[in-house]
Amino acid sequence: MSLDSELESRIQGIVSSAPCVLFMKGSPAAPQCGFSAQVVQVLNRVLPEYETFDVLSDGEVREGVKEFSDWPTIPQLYVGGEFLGGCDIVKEMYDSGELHDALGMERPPLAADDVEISISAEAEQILRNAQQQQQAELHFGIDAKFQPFLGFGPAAGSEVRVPVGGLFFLLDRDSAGRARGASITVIDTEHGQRLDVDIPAARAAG
Amino acid sequence: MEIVGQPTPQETAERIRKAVAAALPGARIEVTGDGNHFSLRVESAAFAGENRLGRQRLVLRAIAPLMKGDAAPVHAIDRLETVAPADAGSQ
Repeated sequence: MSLDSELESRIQGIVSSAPCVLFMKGSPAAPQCGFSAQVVQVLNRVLPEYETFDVLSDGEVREGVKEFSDWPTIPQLYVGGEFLGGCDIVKEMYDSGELHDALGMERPPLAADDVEISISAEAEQILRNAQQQQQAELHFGIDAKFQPFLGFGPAAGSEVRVPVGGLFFLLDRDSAGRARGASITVIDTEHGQRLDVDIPAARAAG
Repeated sequence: MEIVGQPTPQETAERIRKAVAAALPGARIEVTGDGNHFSLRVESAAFAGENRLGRQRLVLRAIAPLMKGDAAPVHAIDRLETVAPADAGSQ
């Protein structure tokens, strides 16, 4: 089985259209598969912009890219026109720092010594209650577009552990750098209360 | 309701094991899974000198036919661990 040359050059065109191209199911805002969602989550930490191609929108590319990459599953990540891998490999490379190397970026240090995050008593109580219900680690992140994220789940093992009030937050290496001086409070809105995260690094970045 | 003709997870796991064994003779293969999603641990001398991508490719290429199309018996490999005998002891 081989790829017809027209489809092959189409896929080659997609692959070389940007420094970082992700073939995925759905879009970064609405991934249609858990594995695609995981790669998006990793890339969002590292890059403010990257190209994606939704294979669900194009059956030819969906099957063709599997032949093209000699890789039977989606998602597939290309960096600089080279196939990097699928979900497992991208996550492993992120954890080890190799993904930053591949993207030509400096590895953010995996240290939390100077990461200070403050939290109001009210916000701490909300998170403490939520964590007791979830019985899981609390993940805090700030992506490359300075969008904050709070969630619960198991530790990947490569995060830094930061004491925040009486709680512990797990931060990935990119978020740790952006979280310096962040503060979490509860604010009242017309729809009720919500957590607000102030990020000094976002202001510094303009 | 039981769907007639649907392979059991055990049958599919066995097909995965056989496909990998045929591609990588002498490999030690462990397959676990619940239906459409499976995890694999493969130890093979063929991995020596291959990087992570090359190792995974050797395994995935073997099971690619089981993953083709929407009605494929295998939807996803959740975890794929590849070990060369030389690094088996040190892990």
